[in-house]
Amino acid sequence: MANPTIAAAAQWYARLCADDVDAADVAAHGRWLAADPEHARIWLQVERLRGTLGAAPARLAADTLIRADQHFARRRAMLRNGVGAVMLFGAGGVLAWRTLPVERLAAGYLADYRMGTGERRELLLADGTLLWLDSASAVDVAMDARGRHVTVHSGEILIDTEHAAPGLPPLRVTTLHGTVRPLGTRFTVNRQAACTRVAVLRHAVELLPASGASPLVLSAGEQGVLEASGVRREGAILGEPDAWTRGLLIVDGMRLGDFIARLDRYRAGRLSCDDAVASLRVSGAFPIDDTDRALAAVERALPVRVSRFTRYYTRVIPRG
Amino acid sequence: MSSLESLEHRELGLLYRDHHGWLRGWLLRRLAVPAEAADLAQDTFLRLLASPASLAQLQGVRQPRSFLATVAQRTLVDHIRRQVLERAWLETLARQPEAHAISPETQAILLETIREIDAMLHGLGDKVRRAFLMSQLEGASYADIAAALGVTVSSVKKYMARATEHCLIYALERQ
Repeated sequence: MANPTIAAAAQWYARLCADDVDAADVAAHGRWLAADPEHARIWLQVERLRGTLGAAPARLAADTLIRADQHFARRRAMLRNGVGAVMLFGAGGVLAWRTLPVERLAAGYLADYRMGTGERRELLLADGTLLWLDSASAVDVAMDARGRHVTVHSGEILIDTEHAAPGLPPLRVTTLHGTVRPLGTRFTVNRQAACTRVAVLRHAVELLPASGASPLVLSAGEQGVLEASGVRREGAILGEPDAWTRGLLIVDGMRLGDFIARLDRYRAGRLSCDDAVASLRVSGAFPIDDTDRALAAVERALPVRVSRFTRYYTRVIPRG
Repeated sequence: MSSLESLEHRELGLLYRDHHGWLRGWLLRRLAVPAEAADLAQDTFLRLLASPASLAQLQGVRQPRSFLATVAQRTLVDHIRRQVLERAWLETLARQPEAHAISPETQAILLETIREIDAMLHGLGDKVRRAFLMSQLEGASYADIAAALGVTVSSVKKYMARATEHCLIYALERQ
């Protein structure tokens, strides 16, 4: 028996994933969701489906499944022809790698996202919030009684709530170190081992430390740190904290040690910096999808040398 | 208890006794690996046991071997599908420069996720399946998918809705 709500949910999903999805579609979908609890119940399955798909390493899974389809078609033909099903896997069937530095997915998924090294994604949540995930980041998107809720386990995200549907419960971003409450805004959250750094690009956010210490409101152009002991302001933003969404790392007077740690996130293998040069300052715009080029630029600008021990172990050391 | 169920199980026992050897030979002709043929013959009977609908069908079967062959064919296709997926996965990994960074445990988990997606999309047409994978996993735009498949963007949208509906029904049936 065809279930009209399932069919409708599928139509909504196809629309929200379309190239020309706009705020009106998102709002109309929100109204459809609210119209009937059954709609919300079925939509939860769509979000679970996104979870299953999101748990797969996107490019590896797509390549495997498409490759399997090709092999399978060949073997089925052999079975039909009554030929013993000899395994026939050539080295052929070379599929052009689709290198999609940024994938855009649209919909209001409740899911876990794990980005591989060099992988970035832009998500449009059901309430219209834009969520960008940087290389090697891991987040969960969930919904509870207090509203939509993003947990950052590692890496960095950018949130833009400018086009979020009004009237919905506010979004919260949490890490081990505390909660970030947007006050109509665009900001980045960078989860590090010992602390969480927040940079505000528009409007303001409120930082609430996990320890229960008093909160702090940051305004546009400011950055702050959430850590075990509480929260502190860290002065003005230098560079462009959201440039990674455009494939760039833009810094202004950043410590080389911090810069290299940052670049490490975009590079397969390990990249480190010798303490002797870690305090040098670096400024400029660097491509994050080609870290070798970024390192070459650093080598030209500073008295350092890039030493490659193996393909996967690279170290920035003093020149000389 | 002389329930219908036990009656069906007795039928299955007779079927096993009379035709198991034949089935193994039937599978061996198609697989050429004795151990695999034996496993799949076993899987075929297990599949019957696990499926009340197939057991019920067993009652009226006049040609048990053709019935068994039908079920065995499905088991065989599933088996090949698993092999093919695993092989495709290994080929894909082999092409990854950073493959060494994925631990065997993680690889097993990822392969299981890929199997789950594969099972979910089972039964969809090639273009529908391809469109869904390109959109959902590769992040391709509908326009790019339309160009790759040689169809219109509005067809891509229909494919996406059909694939999504298929997956939703699959998920709801398994709850």
